Amino acid sequence: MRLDVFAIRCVYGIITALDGVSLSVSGGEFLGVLGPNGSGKTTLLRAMAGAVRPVSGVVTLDGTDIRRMSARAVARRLAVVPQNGQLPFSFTVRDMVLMGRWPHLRRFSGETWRDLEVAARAMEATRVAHLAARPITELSYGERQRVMVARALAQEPQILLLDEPTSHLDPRHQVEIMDLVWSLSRREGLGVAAVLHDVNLAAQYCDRIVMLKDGRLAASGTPGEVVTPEAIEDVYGVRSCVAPHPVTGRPQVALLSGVAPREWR
Amino acid sequence: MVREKGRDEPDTEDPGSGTDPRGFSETGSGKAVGSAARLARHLKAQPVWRAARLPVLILGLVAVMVVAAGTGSVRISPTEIAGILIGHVHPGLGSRLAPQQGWPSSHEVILLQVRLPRILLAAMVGASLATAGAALQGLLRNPLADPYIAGVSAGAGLGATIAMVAGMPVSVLGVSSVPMFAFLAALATIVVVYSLAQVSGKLPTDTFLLAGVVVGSFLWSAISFILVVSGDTMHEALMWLMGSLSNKGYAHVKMAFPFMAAGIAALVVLARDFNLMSLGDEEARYLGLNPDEFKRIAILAASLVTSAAVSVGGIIGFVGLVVPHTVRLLFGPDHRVLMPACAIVGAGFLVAADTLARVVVAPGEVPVGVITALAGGPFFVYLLRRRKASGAL
Repeated sequence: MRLDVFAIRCVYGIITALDGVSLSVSGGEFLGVLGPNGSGKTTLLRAMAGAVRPVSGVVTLDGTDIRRMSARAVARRLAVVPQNGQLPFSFTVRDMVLMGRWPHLRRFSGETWRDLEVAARAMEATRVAHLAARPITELSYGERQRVMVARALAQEPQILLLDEPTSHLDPRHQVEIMDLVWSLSRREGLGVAAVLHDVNLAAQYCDRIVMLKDGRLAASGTPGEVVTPEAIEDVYGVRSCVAPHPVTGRPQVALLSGVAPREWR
Repeated sequence: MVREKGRDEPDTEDPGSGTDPRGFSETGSGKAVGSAARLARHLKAQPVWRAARLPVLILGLVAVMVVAAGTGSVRISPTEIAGILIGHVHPGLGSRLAPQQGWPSSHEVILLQVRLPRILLAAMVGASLATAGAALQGLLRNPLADPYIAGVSAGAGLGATIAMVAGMPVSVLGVSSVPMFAFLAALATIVVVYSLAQVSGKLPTDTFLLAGVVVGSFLWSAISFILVVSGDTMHEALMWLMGSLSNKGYAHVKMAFPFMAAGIAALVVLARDFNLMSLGDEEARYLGLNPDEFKRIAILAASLVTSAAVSVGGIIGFVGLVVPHTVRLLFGPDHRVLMPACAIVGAGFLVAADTLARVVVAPGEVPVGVITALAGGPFFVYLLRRRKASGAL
């Protein structure tokens, strides 16, 4: 299964959010989407999931135009972990994860034994099984994020999209989520695309990285190719040093101050 | 709703283990899959009281209806009620069970011709308003939403007022003119609100709410204007607007039933979709539900039952707001339980309120809408406080 984006252009009213962006994600691959606030990252993710219709260009799932597929057909192949939003109603973790089975259920039938088992396996993989009976509103951000991943896995997707999965999380929970997503792409062969704010986490975990700036693709390639002081300055407008990670050798960014004492620059 | 009764119960220990190449076990070993099967069994298992919720509510509703049927200027005992009903449905069986009728025939007339249609109507209106309220709260993700949020009540009110003031004949084509005008005007209102709120094929929640409020206040002003210039019919129209189930008969029951039954059935069938929708348009779409299509169907169903309810019962407030919240506080937010439970509790609540409405100042009557607000408000506050105190809201 692969997801391809061909030269899409997305517009909100008179504002162009994305212009001529192309990329692809295939099974077993972990793609990171980087860029400053307002660069079109979330719009790109929504377009990849079929929630935003590009005015030109096309998004395809295994060669089929996503606009020709029903929301249900898309949801059986592709799952999205949205940003932590507000939760108006206090569903239990169990009910929340089982909602991931919706695209597989028929109108007048309840969940079958297999549906429950898929949900159970998703909850074990994300280590939220012990929370099954708890209302989602009572969980911490880290637990809630894992429940959202469990719900996405319950859809049995082949492509998984995540919108800033590590924001609002402390370092331990950040690593936990990234480890989980990484192992899903490696062991289960999921194609993963994640919008990330943290350049270092992206460089450490992703196979490929695309950088967006003002709705256009500014850079694309392996972390080693993309995470450079020049690219960081071009996209984010900050100066930085890039050095290899002491253990993994992946590039890691140390930001430089604009106003601080001379020895800091 | 019947998650407890699963099919596909496996006979063997690990159904499908090893056949699913993309099982999400960490290790892929048999042990991990075995624990998933155990967990799945745990997910399916539900406490007995959860399975018994709806049957218990139905028993409660029947009890309320029996008490309501026996209460009034003439008291009728439950055994009498049972005897009269059985005798009415099956005369042979009735005379065998109660050979010498122990009740005066006036009781039979009072029960069958006066109280029963009114109780049935109250139950239907209550069920409709509560279910439509639950649907709109879930759909709009707004706890203040009620069945009247889209201006349906004002539209129905204007239709009814015009019919009364213009001195329409009591019935047109065999249908009473006031409820028919109210029903048509309510449906016309929802069409106007919907098309005002639509933005390029989508229906944003905020614009829908705003359009409903704006159209509603416009129509209310029109009602006020007509009432002021109408003179004599003002009292009659005001009673209608406050909501009353007096002087209604089987004709009203028959008129409203098809719309209410179809609408409530649709809302119950769509319960699982309402769960997805209550997470928001975008998440619903990611889980496979097209939010724009769904809103169209759900608003149509909710408006149909609300319009039917208002056209026969007038504008009875609070049922559509308080009952869904109460049921949600008791049973949680799952619409698969919420929808049918709201229908049952709403029916029982309005039957009880209407019984109070006709006995508290007997032989006079209080508009039932006054009772629902007086009784429902404090109870709702109590529930809310209790839930807040336990920190579980």
